[in-house]
Amino acid sequence: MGKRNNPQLERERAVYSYLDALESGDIDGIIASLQQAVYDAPLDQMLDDAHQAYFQEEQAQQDEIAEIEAQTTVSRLFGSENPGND
Amino acid sequence: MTLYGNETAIKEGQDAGDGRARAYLQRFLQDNAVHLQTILGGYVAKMGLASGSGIEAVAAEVFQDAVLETLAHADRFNPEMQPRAWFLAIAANILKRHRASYAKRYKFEVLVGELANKYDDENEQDVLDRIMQAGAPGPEQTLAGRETVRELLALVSPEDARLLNMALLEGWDASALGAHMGITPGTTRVRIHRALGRLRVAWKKSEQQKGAR
Repeated sequence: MGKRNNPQLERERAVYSYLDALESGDIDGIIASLQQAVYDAPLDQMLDDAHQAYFQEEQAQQDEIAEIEAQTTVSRLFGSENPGND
Repeated sequence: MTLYGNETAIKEGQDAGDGRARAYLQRFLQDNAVHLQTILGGYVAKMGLASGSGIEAVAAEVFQDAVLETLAHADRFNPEMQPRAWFLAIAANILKRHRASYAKRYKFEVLVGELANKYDDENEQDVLDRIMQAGAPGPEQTLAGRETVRELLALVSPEDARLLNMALLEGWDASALGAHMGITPGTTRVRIHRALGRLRVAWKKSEQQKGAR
Protein backbone atom coordinates (compact mmCIF):
# COMPACT_ATOMS: atom_id res chain seq x y z
CA MET A 1 0.00 0.00 0.00
CA GLY A 2 1.31 3.42 -0.86
CA LYS A 3 4.16 2.00 -3.01
CA ARG A 4 5.06 3.77 -6.23
CA ASN A 5 5.42 2.50 -9.76
CA ASN A 6 8.08 3.90 -12.08
CA PRO A 7 6.04 6.63 -13.82
CA GLN A 8 5.02 7.82 -10.36
CA LEU A 9 8.67 7.81 -9.24
CA GLU A 10 9.54 9.93 -12.26
CA ARG A 11 6.75 12.34 -11.33
CA GLU A 12 8.02 12.60 -7.75
CA ARG A 13 11.49 13.39 -9.09
CA ALA A 14 10.00 16.03 -11.38
CA VAL A 15 8.25 17.67 -8.40
CA TYR A 16 11.48 17.80 -6.37
CA SER A 17 13.34 19.20 -9.39
CA TYR A 18 10.60 21.81 -9.72
CA LEU A 19 10.82 22.77 -6.03
CA ASP A 20 14.62 22.92 -6.23
CA ALA A 21 14.41 25.13 -9.32
CA LEU A 22 11.77 27.31 -7.67
CA GLU A 23 13.83 27.77 -4.53
CA SER A 24 16.97 28.75 -6.44
CA GLY A 25 15.10 30.90 -8.99
CA ASP A 26 16.30 28.62 -11.79
CA ILE A 27 13.81 29.43 -14.54
CA ASP A 28 15.25 26.81 -16.94
CA GLY A 29 14.61 24.12 -14.33
CA ILE A 30 11.05 25.38 -13.85
CA ILE A 31 10.44 25.33 -17.61
CA ALA A 32 11.85 21.80 -17.87
CA SER A 33 9.46 20.49 -15.17
CA LEU A 34 6.48 22.30 -16.74
CA GLN A 35 7.27 20.86 -20.15
CA GLN A 36 7.36 17.41 -18.58
CA ALA A 37 3.82 18.07 -17.27
CA VAL A 38 2.33 19.28 -20.55
CA TYR A 39 1.29 15.71 -21.50
CA ASP A 40 0.99 14.38 -17.95
CA ALA A 41 -2.18 15.40 -16.08
CA PRO A 42 -1.23 13.85 -12.69
CA LEU A 43 2.17 15.61 -12.78
CA ASP A 44 0.50 18.90 -13.73
CA GLN A 45 -1.69 18.57 -10.61
CA MET A 46 1.24 17.53 -8.41
CA LEU A 47 3.27 20.57 -9.49
CA ASP A 48 0.34 22.87 -8.83
CA ASP A 49 -0.27 21.40 -5.35
CA ALA A 50 3.42 21.51 -4.45
CA HIS A 51 3.75 25.11 -5.66
CA GLN A 52 0.84 26.23 -3.47
CA ALA A 53 2.05 24.25 -0.47
CA TYR A 54 5.55 25.70 -0.88
CA PHE A 55 4.35 29.30 -0.67
CA GLN A 56 1.83 28.53 2.10
CA GLU A 57 4.66 27.07 4.20
CA GLU A 58 6.90 30.02 3.37
CA GLN A 59 4.14 32.44 4.37
CA ALA A 60 3.52 30.51 7.59
CA GLN A 61 7.24 30.71 8.43
CA GLN A 62 7.29 34.46 7.74
CA ASP A 63 4.19 34.94 9.92
CA GLU A 64 5.84 32.96 12.70
CA ILE A 65 9.02 35.09 12.49
CA ALA A 66 6.94 38.30 12.45
CA GLU A 67 5.04 37.14 15.53
CA ILE A 68 8.24 36.28 17.41
CA GLU A 69 9.69 39.67 16.49
CA ALA A 70 6.51 41.43 17.62
CA GLN A 71 6.53 39.53 20.93
CA THR A 72 10.21 40.39 21.45
CA THR A 73 9.48 44.06 20.82
CA VAL A 74 6.52 44.03 23.20
CA SER A 75 8.63 42.29 25.87
CA ARG A 76 11.37 44.89 25.46
CA LEU A 77 8.91 47.78 25.68
CA PHE A 78 6.73 46.54 28.52
CA GLY A 79 8.81 43.81 30.12
CA SER A 80 10.07 45.99 33.00
CA GLU A 81 6.57 47.34 33.65
CA ASN A 82 4.95 43.88 33.68
CA PRO A 83 4.02 43.01 37.29
CA GLY A 84 4.35 39.31 36.42
CA ASN A 85 8.05 39.83 35.90
CA ASP A 86 8.67 41.24 39.33
CA MET B 1 -14.54 16.02 -54.98
CA THR B 2 -11.49 17.70 -56.54
CA LEU B 3 -8.10 17.80 -54.88
CA TYR B 4 -8.66 21.49 -54.30
CA GLY B 5 -12.01 20.67 -52.70
CA ASN B 6 -10.37 18.12 -50.34
CA GLU B 7 -7.73 20.61 -49.30
CA THR B 8 -10.39 23.22 -48.66
CA ALA B 9 -12.36 20.77 -46.50
CA ILE B 10 -9.23 19.83 -44.52
CA LYS B 11 -8.34 23.49 -44.09
CA GLU B 12 -11.88 24.29 -42.92
CA GLY B 13 -11.70 21.39 -40.46
CA GLN B 14 -8.37 22.64 -39.13
CA ASP B 15 -9.70 26.17 -38.79
CA ALA B 16 -12.69 24.87 -36.83
CA GLY B 17 -10.35 22.85 -34.61
CA ASP B 18 -8.08 25.86 -34.06
CA GLY B 19 -11.12 27.98 -33.21
CA ARG B 20 -12.26 25.42 -30.64
CA ALA B 21 -8.76 25.25 -29.09
CA ARG B 22 -8.60 29.02 -28.94
CA ALA B 23 -12.04 29.26 -27.32
CA TYR B 24 -11.12 26.52 -24.81
CA LEU B 25 -7.83 28.22 -23.91
CA GLN B 26 -9.50 31.61 -23.61
CA ARG B 27 -12.06 30.18 -21.21
CA PHE B 28 -9.38 28.39 -19.20
CA LEU B 29 -7.30 31.57 -18.90
CA GLN B 30 -10.30 33.66 -17.84
CA ASP B 31 -11.35 31.12 -15.20
CA ASN B 32 -7.83 30.72 -13.79
CA ALA B 33 -6.39 34.23 -14.24
CA VAL B 34 -5.88 34.96 -10.54
CA HIS B 35 -4.37 31.56 -9.76
CA LEU B 36 -1.99 31.71 -12.74
CA GLN B 37 -0.87 35.25 -11.92
CA THR B 38 -0.18 34.19 -8.35
CA ILE B 39 2.02 31.35 -9.60
CA LEU B 40 3.86 33.77 -11.89
CA GLY B 41 4.33 36.12 -8.93
CA GLY B 42 6.08 33.24 -7.15
CA TYR B 43 8.46 32.82 -10.11
CA VAL B 44 9.15 36.57 -10.22
CA ALA B 45 9.89 36.68 -6.48
CA LYS B 46 12.12 33.62 -6.52
CA MET B 47 14.06 34.88 -9.54
CA GLY B 48 14.66 38.12 -7.68
CA LEU B 49 13.29 40.20 -10.56
CA ALA B 50 11.21 42.42 -8.28
CA SER B 51 10.15 42.85 -4.68
CA GLY B 52 7.09 44.14 -2.79
CA SER B 53 4.35 45.47 -5.04
CA GLY B 54 6.71 45.19 -8.03
CA ILE B 55 6.21 41.41 -7.97
CA GLU B 56 2.50 41.73 -8.73
CA ALA B 57 3.16 44.32 -11.46
CA VAL B 58 5.73 42.15 -13.25
CA ALA B 59 3.50 39.06 -12.87
CA ALA B 60 0.53 40.94 -14.38
CA GLU B 61 2.64 42.12 -17.31
CA VAL B 62 4.03 38.64 -17.98
CA PHE B 63 0.53 37.16 -17.66
CA GLN B 64 -0.82 39.52 -20.34
CA ASP B 65 2.07 38.80 -22.71
CA ALA B 66 1.71 35.08 -22.11
CA VAL B 67 -2.04 35.17 -22.80
CA LEU B 68 -1.40 36.88 -26.15
CA GLU B 69 1.31 34.39 -27.06
CA THR B 70 -0.79 31.39 -25.97
CA LEU B 71 -3.80 32.46 -27.99
CA ALA B 72 -1.64 33.31 -31.01
CA HIS B 73 -0.34 29.72 -30.95
CA ALA B 74 -3.64 28.04 -30.10
CA ASP B 75 -3.29 25.94 -33.28
CA ARG B 76 -0.46 24.04 -31.52
CA PHE B 77 -2.69 23.06 -28.60
CA ASN B 78 -4.43 19.68 -28.60
CA PRO B 79 -6.88 18.15 -26.11
CA GLU B 80 -4.25 15.77 -24.69
CA MET B 81 -2.20 18.72 -23.45
CA GLN B 82 -2.53 20.27 -19.99
CA PRO B 83 -3.39 23.96 -20.49
CA ARG B 84 -1.93 25.05 -17.13
CA ALA B 85 1.51 23.50 -17.69
CA TRP B 86 1.55 24.68 -21.32
CA PHE B 87 0.59 28.24 -20.42
CA LEU B 88 3.03 28.43 -17.51
CA ALA B 89 5.87 27.11 -19.69
CA ILE B 90 5.12 29.88 -22.22
CA ALA B 91 4.96 32.47 -19.42
CA ALA B 92 8.18 31.18 -17.85
CA ASN B 93 9.91 31.52 -21.21
CA ILE B 94 8.69 35.13 -21.38
CA LEU B 95 10.08 35.67 -17.87
CA LYS B 96 13.37 34.26 -19.06
CA ARG B 97 13.41 36.83 -21.86
CA HIS B 98 12.59 39.59 -19.33
CA ARG B 99 15.49 38.46 -17.19
CA ALA B 100 17.81 39.04 -20.12
CA SER B 101 16.73 42.68 -20.24
CA TYR B 102 17.34 42.95 -16.48
CA ALA B 103 20.75 41.41 -17.02
CA LYS B 104 21.67 44.26 -19.36
CA ARG B 105 20.84 46.79 -16.65
CA TYR B 106 22.14 44.88 -13.65
CA LYS B 107 24.66 42.64 -15.30
CA PHE B 108 27.00 42.11 -12.36
CA GLU B 109 24.35 41.01 -9.85
CA VAL B 110 22.61 38.66 -12.27
CA LEU B 111 25.84 36.98 -13.32
CA VAL B 112 26.90 36.40 -9.72
CA GLY B 113 23.44 35.01 -8.92
CA GLU B 114 23.56 32.64 -11.88
CA LEU B 115 26.99 31.33 -10.96
CA ALA B 116 25.90 30.69 -7.37
CA ASN B 117 22.77 28.87 -8.56
CA LYS B 118 24.74 26.71 -10.98
CA TYR B 119 27.14 25.56 -8.26
CA ASP B 120 24.30 24.73 -5.87
CA ASP B 121 22.25 22.88 -8.51
CA GLU B 122 25.08 20.50 -9.31
CA ASN B 123 25.48 19.49 -5.68
CA GLU B 124 21.73 19.24 -5.07
CA GLN B 125 21.11 16.91 -8.00
CA ASP B 126 24.02 14.79 -6.90
CA VAL B 127 22.50 14.12 -3.47
CA LEU B 128 19.04 13.38 -4.87
CA ASP B 129 20.54 10.99 -7.44
CA ARG B 130 22.53 9.14 -4.80
CA ILE B 131 19.44 8.55 -2.69
CA MET B 132 16.96 7.74 -5.43
CA GLN B 133 19.32 5.38 -7.29
CA ALA B 134 19.64 3.36 -4.10
CA GLY B 135 15.87 3.09 -3.96
CA ALA B 136 15.63 1.60 -7.47
CA PRO B 137 14.97 -2.15 -7.59
CA GLY B 138 17.54 -4.62 -8.87
CA PRO B 139 21.31 -4.88 -9.13
CA GLU B 140 24.01 -5.36 -6.53
CA GLN B 141 24.88 -1.69 -6.68
CA THR B 142 21.65 -1.10 -4.78
CA LEU B 143 23.17 -2.65 -1.66
CA ALA B 144 26.30 -0.51 -1.90
CA GLY B 145 24.06 2.43 -2.68
CA ARG B 146 21.95 1.77 0.39
CA GLU B 147 25.10 1.78 2.51
CA THR B 148 25.99 5.20 1.10
CA VAL B 149 22.47 6.40 1.78
CA ARG B 150 22.64 5.20 5.40
CA GLU B 151 25.80 7.27 5.80
CA LEU B 152 24.09 10.23 4.14
CA LEU B 153 20.97 10.01 6.29
CA ALA B 154 23.11 9.85 9.44
CA LEU B 155 24.05 13.47 8.69
CA VAL B 156 20.54 14.79 9.41
CA SER B 157 18.07 14.68 12.31
CA PRO B 158 16.26 11.38 13.00
CA GLU B 159 12.97 13.03 11.85
CA ASP B 160 14.44 14.08 8.50
CA ALA B 161 16.17 10.73 8.07
CA ARG B 162 12.92 8.87 8.73
CA LEU B 163 10.96 11.06 6.30
CA LEU B 164 13.55 10.75 3.53
CA ASN B 165 13.89 7.03 4.10
CA MET B 166 10.13 6.47 3.82
CA ALA B 167 9.71 8.74 0.80
CA LEU B 168 12.78 7.99 -1.26
CA LEU B 169 13.84 4.48 -0.29
CA GLU B 170 10.80 2.63 1.02
CA GLY B 171 8.76 4.17 -1.78
CA TRP B 172 5.82 5.65 0.12
CA ASP B 173 3.94 7.97 -2.16
CA ALA B 174 3.11 11.51 -1.03
CA SER B 175 -0.60 10.73 -0.58
CA ALA B 176 0.05 7.77 1.73
CA LEU B 177 2.81 9.59 3.59
CA GLY B 178 0.65 12.72 3.88
CA ALA B 179 -2.26 10.66 5.26
CA HIS B 180 0.17 9.08 7.75
CA MET B 181 1.38 12.54 8.85
CA GLY B 182 -2.03 14.26 8.65
CA ILE B 183 -1.01 16.73 5.91
CA THR B 184 -1.74 17.17 2.17
CA PRO B 185 0.38 15.46 -0.52
CA GLY B 186 1.64 18.88 -1.68
CA THR B 187 2.80 19.82 1.82
CA THR B 188 4.40 16.38 2.18
CA ARG B 189 6.46 16.99 -0.96
CA VAL B 190 7.51 20.42 0.28
CA ARG B 191 8.61 18.90 3.61
CA ILE B 192 10.60 16.22 1.79
CA HIS B 193 12.12 18.93 -0.37
CA ARG B 194 13.13 20.92 2.71
CA ALA B 195 14.54 17.83 4.43
CA LEU B 196 16.56 17.19 1.26
CA GLY B 197 17.79 20.78 1.41
CA ARG B 198 19.05 20.25 4.96
CA LEU B 199 20.68 16.99 3.88
CA ARG B 200 22.44 18.79 1.02
CA VAL B 201 23.84 21.42 3.37
CA ALA B 202 25.02 18.74 5.81
CA TRP B 203 26.51 16.69 2.98
CA LYS B 204 28.34 19.68 1.53
CA LYS B 205 29.77 20.44 4.96
CA SER B 206 30.88 16.85 5.47
CA GLU B 207 32.54 16.77 2.00
CA GLN B 208 34.37 20.00 2.82
CA GLN B 209 35.57 18.51 6.10
CA LYS B 210 36.78 15.38 4.28
CA GLY B 211 38.59 17.55 1.74
CA ALA B 212 40.25 19.56 4.49
CA ARG B 213 41.75 16.41 6.06
